[in-house]
Amino acid sequence: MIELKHVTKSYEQNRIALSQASLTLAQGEMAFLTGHSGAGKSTLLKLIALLERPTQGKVMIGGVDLADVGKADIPYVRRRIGVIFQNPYLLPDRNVFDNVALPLQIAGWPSGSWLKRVRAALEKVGLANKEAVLPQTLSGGEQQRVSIARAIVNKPAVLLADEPTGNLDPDLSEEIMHLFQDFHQVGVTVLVASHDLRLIAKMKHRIITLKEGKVVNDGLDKHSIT
Amino acid sequence: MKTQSASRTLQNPPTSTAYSYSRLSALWDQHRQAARISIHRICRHPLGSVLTLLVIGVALALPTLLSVLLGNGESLSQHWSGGTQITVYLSENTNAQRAEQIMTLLKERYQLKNARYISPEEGLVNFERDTGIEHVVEQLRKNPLPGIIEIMPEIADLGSAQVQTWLNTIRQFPGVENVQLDLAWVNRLQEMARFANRLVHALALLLGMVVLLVIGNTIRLSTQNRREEIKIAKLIGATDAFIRRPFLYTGFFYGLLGALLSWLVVSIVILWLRAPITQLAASYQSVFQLRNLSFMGAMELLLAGALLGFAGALIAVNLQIRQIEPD
Ligand SMILES: Nc1ncnc2c1ncn2[C@@H]1O[C@H](COP(=O)(O)OP(=O)(O)OP(=O)(O)O)[C@@H](O)[C@H]1O
Ligand SMILES: [Mg+2]
Repeated sequence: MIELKHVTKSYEQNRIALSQASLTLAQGEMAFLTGHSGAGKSTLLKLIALLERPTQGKVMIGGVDLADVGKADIPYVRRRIGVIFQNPYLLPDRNVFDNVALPLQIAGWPSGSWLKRVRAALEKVGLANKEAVLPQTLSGGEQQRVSIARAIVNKPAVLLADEPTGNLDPDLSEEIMHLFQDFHQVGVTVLVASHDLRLIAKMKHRIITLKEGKVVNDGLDKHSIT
Repeated sequence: MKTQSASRTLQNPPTSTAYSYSRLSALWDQHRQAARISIHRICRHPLGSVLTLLVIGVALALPTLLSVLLGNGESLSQHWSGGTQITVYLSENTNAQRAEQIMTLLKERYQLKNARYISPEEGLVNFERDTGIEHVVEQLRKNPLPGIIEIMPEIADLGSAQVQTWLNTIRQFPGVENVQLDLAWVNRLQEMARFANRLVHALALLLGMVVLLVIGNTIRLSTQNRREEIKIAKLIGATDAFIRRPFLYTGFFYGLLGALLSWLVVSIVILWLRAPITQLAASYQSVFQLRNLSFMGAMELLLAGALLGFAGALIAVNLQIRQIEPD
């Protein structure tokens, strides 16, 4: 589903964030992306979400070479990818329901069809009773779950998460990781960047380790790098 | 095309679902949502919105008021077109009977407000009365004045080509010596009207720019305030058109409401001026009433306001939207 071939990304002043990184994620696979700060985890996810373009190499999603996706087509690709960040990025002036409905609105779904989908998404993240509430009245963990509901409401084929548990306590973090696992179990391809090694080791999934922009370890449930 | 196939493979078009949902009604749905969002935004900051509307209202009211007054002035000058008449000089041997025939002919052929025959004798009496010089004929032994017919056409624009052809035709009439139009007066009036018209146009252009800039700047600030929201929307797959839409509606509504406000302002000012002007006209034995902006004029004003608002928003949002990308 996701394929990176010898991808190099350098920012201004020749800062190399990724260097000749290659990896393949099969459809429905779940993997963690780890590595020290500055290793290139966020950069890798941004390349998949078309937030950045590679300097060299190829990024493919579902057989489509992202180099062929022009600026005007980026929105349509992004609608098939759910993205979650450490910051939930919710709209403060809209209630939980409207925040979760945003992708449906953007994709042009009739407003009559939102209710069912938004309710289903909120139910999945355990916030069914909070739909009329404004985001700032929710806890950090709840806000993050709203952002997850928003990411999955459009039933994306791919779910990307960059440090989704960065701000949360261990119990909440584990809850969130289990949520991702649930999506993986219904066939969504999931890639989660995290440096919480203790937590991701517990999850028993593939772990891809980056170091200075290179893939240094790629395997099942292995503790890596010193 | 490669790009299109790329996006199509990844896209999940709503049309392919159980909802029988046409593209048109999807568009309608999106526009309704955008309009609702923009009204919501305008109402969220009532003070700022009202101030913006006042600026737009005043800016549009100025040229509108001037153009309404100018229109009134033009109709007033028609009221007072006493000076704008055509004088038909008859030849020396045209007697009163022939003069009456010519007058009847003129009345039949052309739409005349008024026609009057002044015989040489009458002309002399008038001349003596107006100048105070008496016994002219006694000194000249002969009345030097020709008989004349003064006619006043219905047509307002005496400088028009139509009137020119009239003059040429009347000049050919047997018994007619010459035809004269008081062109100096007509020309002066027309020059003045032309000048006033241009002034109104120049003002409308300048103040239209003001409206464009005010709305453009308001929308620019609004996009700045909504940077995060725009980034999030782009991240979730919003097209530029989707992001632009509520801002364009906001600009459109600002322009429309501002124009509505200026209509109100103009109407109030006209109403306020009406009484003194009617009195002034009455003192000249004239029945004249100051007219307000016509319904069509008002519609044009609203259209102009809405278009300016839309254009200002479009320019502003296009300049901003490209700079705001998720990071
Ligand atoms: N927009 C940018 N402009 C310039 N350099 C950047 C930019 N984004 C990232 N970098 C650099 O690229 C390298 C990789 O950054 P990246 O954010 O991908 O690391 P990361 O693994 O996500 O780190 P962290 O765990 O701290 O989030 C770093 O050296 C960083 O300084
Ligand atoms: Mg990062």
